[in-house]
Amino acid sequence: MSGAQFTSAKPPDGPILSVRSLHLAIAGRRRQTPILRGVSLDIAPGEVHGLVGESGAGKTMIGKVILGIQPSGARIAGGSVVFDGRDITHLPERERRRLMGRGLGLIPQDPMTSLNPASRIGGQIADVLRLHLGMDRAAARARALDLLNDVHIREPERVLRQYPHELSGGMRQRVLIAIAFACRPKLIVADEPTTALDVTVQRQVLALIKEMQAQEGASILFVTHDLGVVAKVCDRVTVLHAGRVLEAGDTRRIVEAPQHDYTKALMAATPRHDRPGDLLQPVPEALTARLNEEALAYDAAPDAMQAGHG
Amino acid sequence: MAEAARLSGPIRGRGSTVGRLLANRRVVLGGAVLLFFALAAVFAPLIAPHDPVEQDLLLQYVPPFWSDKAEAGFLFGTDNLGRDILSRLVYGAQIALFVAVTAAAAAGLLGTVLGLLAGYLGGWVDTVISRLVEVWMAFPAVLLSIVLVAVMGTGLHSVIIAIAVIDWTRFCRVVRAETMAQKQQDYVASAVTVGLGRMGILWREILPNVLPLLLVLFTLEMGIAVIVEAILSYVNLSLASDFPTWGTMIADGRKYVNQAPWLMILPIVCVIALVLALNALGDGLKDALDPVMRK
Repeated sequence: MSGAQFTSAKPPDGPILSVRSLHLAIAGRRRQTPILRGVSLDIAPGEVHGLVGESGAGKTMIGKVILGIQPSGARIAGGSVVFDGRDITHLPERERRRLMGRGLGLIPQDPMTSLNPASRIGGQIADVLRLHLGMDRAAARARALDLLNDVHIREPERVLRQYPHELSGGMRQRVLIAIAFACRPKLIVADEPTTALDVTVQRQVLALIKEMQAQEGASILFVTHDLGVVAKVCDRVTVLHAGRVLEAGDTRRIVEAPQHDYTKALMAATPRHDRPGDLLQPVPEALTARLNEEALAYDAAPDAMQAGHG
Repeated sequence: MAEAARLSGPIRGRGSTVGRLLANRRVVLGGAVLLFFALAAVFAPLIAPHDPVEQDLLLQYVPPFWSDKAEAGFLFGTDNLGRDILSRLVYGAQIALFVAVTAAAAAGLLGTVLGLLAGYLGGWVDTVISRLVEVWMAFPAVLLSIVLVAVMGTGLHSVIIAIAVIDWTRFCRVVRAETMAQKQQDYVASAVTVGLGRMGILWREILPNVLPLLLVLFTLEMGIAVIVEAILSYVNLSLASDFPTWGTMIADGRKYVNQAPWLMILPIVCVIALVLALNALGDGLKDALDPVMRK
């Protein structure tokens, strides 16, 4: 558990997104609870970057900070998020809004609740197009139809006129993917986009995200707790625990030769089609206990730990 | 998950809403009674057999049709000045419903705008508006309305303004709470991530989802407005007394309750029927439109 495990492989050309020692804390009544403890990661243009960790590791919170939708009690205590050459952590609302849609997009976790129940699918897609690309009604409708075709929705003309409750979860996630890609953003945060879906639909949606990503050339920050999904879609991975980056690198390297004990434990807990005989091992309690202690030690003396991690 | 399975089939959205409304007994019954009064109000000049203010001192205290002393052409009899009760009731419905709709709309508009802002913006805006609502609600409504009308002068517009100025708090409180709940929903976060501004989110995302609730509140407020209008005209603070409002008719009838009880009973029956219908309709709409209640 020395600094050697922290291997941040720098992408070849300039990163589209660069998170630098990001600290985030949620203010409680008496004290602040640290959520992110100096997270750094880089995403290259066109890269699919996996962000793995268990519940409470802070992976979703990183996505939210990038999109500027962190809860009101959360305070960025340090570090920076540089997107497309500028720090976006303290962007004024106007500029933040201009960035959304065209620069940044979101594929949310729960398709059942992420569409406005009171307006039609066509209107919800068209709104985004008209807002950012200044399309008129007819052009926006035509483009919405194209987008629904792109995400392989059958009878797109009919779906445009339907309300969210008339669609299945998989269909809604396709619509949300269409909205995320609608204005050709440079980076999309996919926040566990398949977790809320049926297993049979999960694979189709993953394939669709990959396909759209290849077609549009966007980068994706893929937040998930599923290493199996990571192995399928991600170019590089960052492993997160208790708000700290434990290991980062190419997916192949992480999956085949994990360095950190925690990554090894996560791999042992993931079913693998290439080794069907292996029994699954839960992450040892002693290991999580040790990692939690490390996190607390980091809170007490962040500089000492940072020096250790180089 | 069970819901997901149910929703995966094709559902005709609009049809099912109308179907759900028609399946609710209170909606149908309340709606029917309201429609009855509304038609009477709209077609008052056609329905009313006499001029509601026309006096005929030779035909005082003609009893209604169920009495053997009833006169042809005066279905519900006449009052102390020989005015036709049916005609007065029909024109009274016109005034009652006009006040109900405009006052509820005015109260709804004021309360909804403030409630949306308080619920969505939070912070000091919420604090100011919420405290204002609490102070406002500390005043007894009837007294406040009487004071307001006394200051503004009698008349229909004073009654409408008084109701709006007093009852906007009902809308404000409920809309604020609902806005706060809707604000937490994922679709609002999604709207933020596509770059919609605050007012855009409030107008395009949250308001449409608060609308069913507003419809319920509006209906209930109409019932309250009918009562308040009746009270204010009973104490002679609404229209001039020869105008046939239900409240005036009750007040006039009170003086002759021993000789001609129907003078008082008939307008009271109208007030009760209309208010009950509006309350039933409001409750029924609440059940039919509430996504939690519908199974």
